[in-house]
This record gives sequence, C-alpha cells and structure tokens, in this order.
Amino acid sequence: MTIATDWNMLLVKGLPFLTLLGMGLLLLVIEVLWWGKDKTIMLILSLLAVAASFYFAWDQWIQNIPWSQQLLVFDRLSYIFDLIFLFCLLITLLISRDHIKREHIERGEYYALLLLATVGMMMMAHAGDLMVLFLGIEVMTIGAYILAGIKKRHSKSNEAALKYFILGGIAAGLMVFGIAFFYGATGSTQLSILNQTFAEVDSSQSVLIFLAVALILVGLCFKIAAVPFHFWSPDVYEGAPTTVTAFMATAIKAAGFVALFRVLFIVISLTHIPWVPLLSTLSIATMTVGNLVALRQTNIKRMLAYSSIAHAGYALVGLAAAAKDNQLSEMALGAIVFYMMAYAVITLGAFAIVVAMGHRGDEAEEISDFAGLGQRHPLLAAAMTVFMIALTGIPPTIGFIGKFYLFASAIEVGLYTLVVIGVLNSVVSAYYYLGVVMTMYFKEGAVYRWPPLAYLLTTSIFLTLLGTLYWGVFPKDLFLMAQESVRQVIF
Amino acid sequence: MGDPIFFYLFATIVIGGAIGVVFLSNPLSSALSLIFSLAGLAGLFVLLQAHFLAAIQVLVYAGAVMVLFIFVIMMLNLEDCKKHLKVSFASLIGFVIALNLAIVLVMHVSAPLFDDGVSDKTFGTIEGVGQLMLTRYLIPFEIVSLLLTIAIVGAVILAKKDNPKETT
Amino acid sequence: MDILIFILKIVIPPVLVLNFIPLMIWFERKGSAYIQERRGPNRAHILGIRLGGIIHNFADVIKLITKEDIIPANVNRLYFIGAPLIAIFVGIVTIAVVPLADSVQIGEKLVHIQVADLNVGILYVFAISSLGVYSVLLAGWSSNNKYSLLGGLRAASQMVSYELALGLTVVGLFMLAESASVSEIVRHQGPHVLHWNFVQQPLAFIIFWIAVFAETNRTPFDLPEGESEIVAGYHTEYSSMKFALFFMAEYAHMVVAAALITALFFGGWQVPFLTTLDLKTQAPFYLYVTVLTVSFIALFFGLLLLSQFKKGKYRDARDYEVLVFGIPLFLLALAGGGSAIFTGPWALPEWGRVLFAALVQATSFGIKMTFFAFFFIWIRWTLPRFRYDQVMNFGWKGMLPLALLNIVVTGVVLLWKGNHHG
Repeated sequence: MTIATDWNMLLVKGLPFLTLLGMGLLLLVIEVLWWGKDKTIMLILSLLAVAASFYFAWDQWIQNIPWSQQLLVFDRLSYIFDLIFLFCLLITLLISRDHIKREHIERGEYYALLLLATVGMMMMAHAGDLMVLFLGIEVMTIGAYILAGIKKRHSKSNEAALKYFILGGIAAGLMVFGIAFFYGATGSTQLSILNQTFAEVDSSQSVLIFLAVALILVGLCFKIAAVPFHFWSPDVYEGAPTTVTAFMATAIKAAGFVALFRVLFIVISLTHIPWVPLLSTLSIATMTVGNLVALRQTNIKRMLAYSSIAHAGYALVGLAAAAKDNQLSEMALGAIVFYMMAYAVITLGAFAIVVAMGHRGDEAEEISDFAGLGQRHPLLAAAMTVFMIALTGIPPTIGFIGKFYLFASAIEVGLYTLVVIGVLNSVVSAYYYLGVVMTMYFKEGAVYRWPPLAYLLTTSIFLTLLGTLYWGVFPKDLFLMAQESVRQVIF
Repeated sequence: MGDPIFFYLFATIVIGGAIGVVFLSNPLSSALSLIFSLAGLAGLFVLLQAHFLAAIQVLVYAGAVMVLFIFVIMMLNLEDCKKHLKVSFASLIGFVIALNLAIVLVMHVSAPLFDDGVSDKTFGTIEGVGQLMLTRYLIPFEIVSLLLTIAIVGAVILAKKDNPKETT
Repeated sequence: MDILIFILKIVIPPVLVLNFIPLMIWFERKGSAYIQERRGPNRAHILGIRLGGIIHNFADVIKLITKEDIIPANVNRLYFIGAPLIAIFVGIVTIAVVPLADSVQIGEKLVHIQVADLNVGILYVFAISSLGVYSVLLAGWSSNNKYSLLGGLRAASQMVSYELALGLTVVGLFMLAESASVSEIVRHQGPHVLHWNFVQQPLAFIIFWIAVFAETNRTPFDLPEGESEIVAGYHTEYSSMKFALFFMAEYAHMVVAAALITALFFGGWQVPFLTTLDLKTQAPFYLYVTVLTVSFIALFFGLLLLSQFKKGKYRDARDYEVLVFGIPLFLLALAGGGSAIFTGPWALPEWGRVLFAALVQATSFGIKMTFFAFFFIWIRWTLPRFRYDQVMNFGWKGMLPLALLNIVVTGVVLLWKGNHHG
C-alpha cells in the first residue's frame, strides 16, 4: 500500500505553494510578535512571497516535466493555474492596502488568509486525488468565508460570511457524498485509478458513479456560481470587502474551473452520461440568468457578481464544446484557460476602480456614484470604460479575444445554438456594462475634491489596463501558452 | 463482519436518529437524535473492524462537537418550533430527488461492491491508521492541518473583541 | 469455563466500582473531618457496630431511598430522569479496559483480567467518558432552573476544555509503549519503579492528574456545583435516589480516574520490583512472608482494639464493638501466624502459584488505586475553588500548550534515543 515518494522532487515541484504556505504561516507569527502598528511589512513580505512563487511556477511551466506523485500532480495545466491565482493574488494585494486601512481591517491575518487560501487553490490545481481536491476546496473556501466576514461591525459583511458559509457547507457536503460514492463504486479516490476503472464499469456500479458525478458537479458548480447554484454569490460579493470580492470573483472562479477540469478529465469517458446536453443546459442557464438579472442591478458589486455568473456561463460553453467527443479537446480547453486569464485581468481592473472610487466612510458602491466621473477624473473613467468594453467582449480588448476563442471552439464541434445564445447574451450584457459608461460620462454627479490615488492602486489599474489592451491586440503568445498548458495533462 | 443482526441494529439507530433530527420539534431533542445517529455509526465502524475510527467518532463527534451544538442550543434557549407540513415547490422537488436517491441506492447497492484491505490484520487499528496517515496520505493529512489552522485563525479573528485602541 | 469467565468479567467491574463508592464516601466524611479537626460520623450503628463510621453509609442510603422523589413542574421528564442514569452508566463502564492483574494462563486459554483488551484501549475510556458530559448538560437543561442551566453550561465547557489536555497527555504514553492498549501500557512499565510512567513522563502525569480533577468536577474544579454561586449547580432540582445516582456517579468517576492514574502512570498491577514470573516461581516464599506480615499486623490491631475495651463507656451494645472486631483479629493472627511458623513455607501447586501472583498483583493495584482515590478527597478539603475565568485560562493557555510540549519533547527524545542506541 505504501508508495515511495521522492520528497526532494516534491519539494522542488511544490515550491510555488510551499513558498506561499511558509509565508502565510510566518505572517501569522509576525502578527502576534510584531510590535509596530504599521502593517506595511506584511504587505511587502506577501508581495515577496508572491514574486518568488510566481518565479518558481513560471520556471516549472517552462521546464515542463510532468510528474505525478499520485496525490499531487505537477503538469503545465496546474502551473498555469498557479500563475493565474498568483496574478489575482498580486492585484488583490496591491489594491488591498488602502481599502483595508479605510475599513479598519488591516491586520496580518488578512494577508495570511489570502496567501493560505491561494495555497488551497493551488492544491485544487495540483490535485491527483479527490481527497486532495476536496481539501483544497475547503482550505480555499474557509479562507474566503473568513475574509468575507472580516468586516465584523458591518451587518452586510456578517450576512455575506454566514450565507457563504452555510451554502458552502451544504455544497461541500454534497461533494463529499459524491466522493464517497466514487469510493464505494471503485475502491479508490485517486484520479488515475478512477480513470482506469471507468474503462470496465459494469452497469450496477454505473448508477452509483452517475450519482457520484452528479453530486460532485453540484459541489463544483456552486464554487463557480453556475445557475442554479448561484444564489449565494450576489449577496456575498456585495457584503464582502471589495478587495476580497475581487479575489473571490477571479481566483476562486478560476480554481473552480480547474477543479472541474480535473474531475471532467476522468469522468468524461463515461459514455452513459449525456455530457454535451448537460453542460450546454448549464451554460445557457448560467449565461442567461446572470445577464438578465444583472440588468436590474444598481449596486456595482452586485452587478459585477451577476456578470461573473454570466462569464462562468460563457466559459461553460467552452466546456460543452470540449466534451463533444467524450474526450476533452485541446482547443476548447485552451480557450477556457485563456478566458479565465482574460476574465481575471479585466475583472480585477474593474474592482480596482471600484476600490479607487471609495473614500473613508463612503465606499461608493452604487452605480450612480460613478456619475460625472468622466469630468472629475477622466483617466479613471477611461480605464473603467476599457474594462466595461472588455467585459462586454468588444475589440480591441482581451475580453473579445477570449470570447472569440470560446465561441470558435464551439463552432468547430457544431454547437451553433449554444454560440448563438452566447452572442445574444453578450449583446444583452452590453446594456448594463455600457450603462456604467453612460453614467460616467453623461450624468451629473456630486462634485468633490478627488484625493490623490494611492500609487499601489494606480499600479494595479495600470497593470490590468495594460494586460487588457496589450493581449487584446497581441493575444498570440498568451493563447499559445494556454494551448500548451492543456496539451499534456496527467493524472 | 459479525452477526448481521448487529448491523441491522446499528443501522436502525443511525437512520432512526437521522429521522429524529429532522422531525423532532424540540431543537435539543434533534441534537440528541444526532448523537444517537453518530453513536450508531460508530457501531457500524466497529463491525467493519475500524475500531480506531469508532472510538474517534464517539470521542470527537458525539463527545465534543455535539456538546458544543447543545451548548449553543441551551444558551439560545430555543423554543419548540412548530412544524407543520408545508408543501412548497422546493420541498417537493427536494423530496422527489431524495426519494430518487434512496431508491437508486437501495436498488443498486445491495452487496458490497469491493472487498479490499479488510484482510489486513492492522486494518482499523491505531497502528494501521497511523501508518497510512503518515506515509501514503501524508499530504492530505498536512492539508487538513492547514485547514484547521485557517479555521482556528478565522474563529479567533471573528470572535475576538476589537482592541478599542486599534479601531480608533 | 468460558461462560464462567464471561460472567465474572461482566459482574466484577461494576461490583468493584460500586463497592468502592461507600468506601469513598466514608473517606470523604472521615477524611474531611480529620482535616478540619472534627471526629466525623460516629453515631450510626447496627447492634453497636459502627466500623469507624462506615455504617453511616447505610443511614445515608436509607435516607436517600425513602425521601420523596420530586420531579418539578415543567421539566422535560425524559431528560430529567435520563440524566442521572447516563452519569452512573458512564462511571461504571469505563473501567472495562483497565487490567486488574497480569493475564493468566488457564489450560489452553490466556485469560485477561479485564473486560476487554481493546486495541484502542484508552481511547475507549475517553470516548465513553466524553459522553458523561451529557448527563450534566441534560440535567442542567431539563431542570428548568437557571442555576441548573448555569451549572450544566459550566460543566460542559470545562469538561470539553480539559478533555483536550487529557487526551494529549496520553499520546506520550502511547509513544513509549508503542500501543494504546491499557494492558500494554501497564506491561511496558515493568516492575521497576523508576520505569513507571510518572517518572518517565512527569509532565504528562501532572497534567493528566489535574485534567482528571476537572473531568470529575472535583474541587478545585467543582464550579458546576459551586454552592456559593449557583446553589448546587446541575443537580439543584434533584432529590431522593436520582440525586443519589449523581452522588454515586461522582464517586464512581473518581474511582475510575484513580484506576486510570494507577494503570497509566503507576504501573497498574505491577508489584514493585517483582515480575509476574518472580511471583510465580517464588510463590511459596512470598506467601509465607505475606501470611506472617498480615498476621503480625492483625495481631497488632487486634491487641490495640482489645486494649480499648472499657465497660460502661456508652452503657449499651457499642461498648462491645471493640471486642467484636478485636477478638477475631487476634484469633486470626494467632492461627495464621502459628500455622505459618510451624508448618511453613508450603509447597504450592501450579494453579495456586498463578492465583497467588494474580491476587498479589490485584492487591497491589487496589492499594495504589485506593491511595489515588483518597487523594481526590485530600485535595478537595485542602484547596479552594478556582474562579471560572481562571479555569478556562488555565485549561487553554496552560495545560494545552504544556501537553503539546510534552508530545514534542517525548518525540525528540525517542528519536534521539533511537538514533543513538537503536
């Protein structure tokens, strides 16, 4: 039963998450021992850890030596998602400082929890066993529950944490149930073994496996907020501190998708499950509900929450396309990976601007607060316009390229209806995204003196803006990278 | 496996307890039913030779976690909730799905699907479990400790009184 | 034969625990009296026999049984009646894994002198005793009385808190004995006193001891029934035999706790410096010595009692009590000592040697256990009660880290030893 593990190999391969883990724990210790009130050191240390981790993950991605330790796997897919998480973490850290100072939640644990939650996500990306996958999800979400409720004195934050916690608990329960059924049917939770056993399933077990797949999918759909498991997300996104919302909307969504990948690689070979209709339905429902409800939102965070639901729907288009022939096609998967990157860059930028809009005592979370921004702060308004255009999917932004690849992969396998619905949805979404732009430029707003933007915030807005536009025009390298990442996936 | 009669005995306790949790009107009675259910589960573990798991099940769930549940129930001094059967759309769907699940499970899972590992003499002993946890499943084990660390830190953050000097 | 052993195993442990309860109560009454410079109970008697106050227990029992059994209005009857039952049940069944003597070879079969030699051993004890908190919680809640509720809540938080330290201390013992079975831990300690766990694991011993006090809700941790604050805590509303069950359960817990301390830290049934093999091979000699010693002690006490006889002290049957005990003791001493001196050392058959060894070991266990049981009373009448916040702080910030430290240190030492001697 024992497996010989090459611990040195594991140490080298696992450096991206080990670095974050070590720094996260160190920050907890520093928080206790640190005598000064200034928490800048925490931010600096976190950024250092992110940089180191980014370097290690990048290095491993370049080296491209897939290795499986059975419980953890190390391939390009996991490293590219490591990089995505790290990017989200980086931007979140950069926009955090001013926001959490305003909200009096600046404490070492905030940084530590962000880092440790990211470790959980990386565990999901590296999972070679359903147990590790589940534990990764739990590490991630428990961190997120706490971060969502970290504004203790705000009832909305409390509500967010509690709702997220209870619904997340139920989803986790369902997922464990599913994993248990897998174990009951096959005697293993290890993905590589499951993959082999699925070749010779007999009919009595296949029912059990069907249930298992259904339950696990429900759990994962909850994480990516796919309809009908999306009810938690608007309230949670609204109540949580804006920086945390940005992190949740991007990193956690990406983590949910990588988990979905890992599971789908295995279960896709089960021919008795109608994958394409299933995923298509999920996708259509998610897109449509997300977009339609987003139309009526007046709160920018809620609007972005529904928009994130809709975007999960678009990404599911790619998954439906990938599932066409009972083996995941590279093109579609690459498109999803690319879309995750694109969505992360744009959404983080949008949230950075929402953070930049806030002042002490006034977080400016209503869309109407954006009125007159075009006059008051033209640059900020211009950046927001770019992000809104990108979210709609209009060239020359990365958002357009992302959608283009997704829909192209769907057309390639002949899912025309799905693509038509997707495009129609994009048109609908233009109404509310461009509504924000309209508000900024064509509505009179309160006039007050604009405080100078903190340079960290400016940096993050600049970075995301650059990413949105640069990769919108020259997407080739990034797209190739996404394609490369899904080429050689191991279990 | 021992006598099947023990299996049915413990299974009845587990299911009866679970039904009690849902249908009893007094919150404390519900919690106590859950304890019965958990204790029955420990009995099932014993039948499966997993003695260590059984002991831990009782020690941790019945003995510690549920104590805190009951603690909270007693603190809140909850009244009996009057349950009247309300047939809503959601409950109907839930019932249908649950029934479906139950039927499928009963129909298709009547025999042990695989037998593996129980022949091992150390199976289920402290030695056996410890050996597995610290070699084969070391990584999940460590992730669990990370998980608990995060949970503890979170509980402390959320429950701790703010230092009045810090909040200004 | 099997059935006989089976029945004995079922009967002996509860009988043992239940019979220790009156003894404990006697300790409590007499011990507290002497600690407070009083005489304690010395009136109740049957035909003049008082047994130094033990007969007082009968009076207690009669009183408790004949009192009116009051169930207050608006209580949840099921839980109200169930709570004391849980208490006494938990008190008695935990003794099951504690061995009273070394395993005995009878014919082909190896008989363990304990109900069950479980692989999970001590965890079973913790698992069952952790259920004990429900008796207190339910009693507190179902009484429909705020003092009871407070008592129940205090008990629950205290027991859960100290259970952690309690559970962690024994990890060090597991590491030493490489087993969690209580009989294995006892066997591993060996007969040599310096190899017993209280020497090997002093920190664990102290923490375990303190935590056990908290678990049994004894002073200085008896906040759940702190009479100066919350009347009588969780059993305020109980009367008659239901109260008596709580009362008995408390002593049963103490007995079990003493048995555990003995088994885990003081070598259990191990006789100091004598292995089971020694006892068996040298049985005639040790029997000879034992009989002589016992006879001598009996002679001493017999003569002491006889010298106390004074006619007309009470002018009733009590005058003759010293004679009732003194004369048999004196005669017993003469008979035992005489036969030992004149016919003595007797050759013993194999089963006799085995039985002798087991009896000596059981006695050794009993003596140690009685001492620790007495210790509970000693502490109670010596130390004041903690404040609630002190209990919690001490448990979480003192005991828990220390227990963890103990594990780490034990691990490091074992590793170091393994590297250098293994």
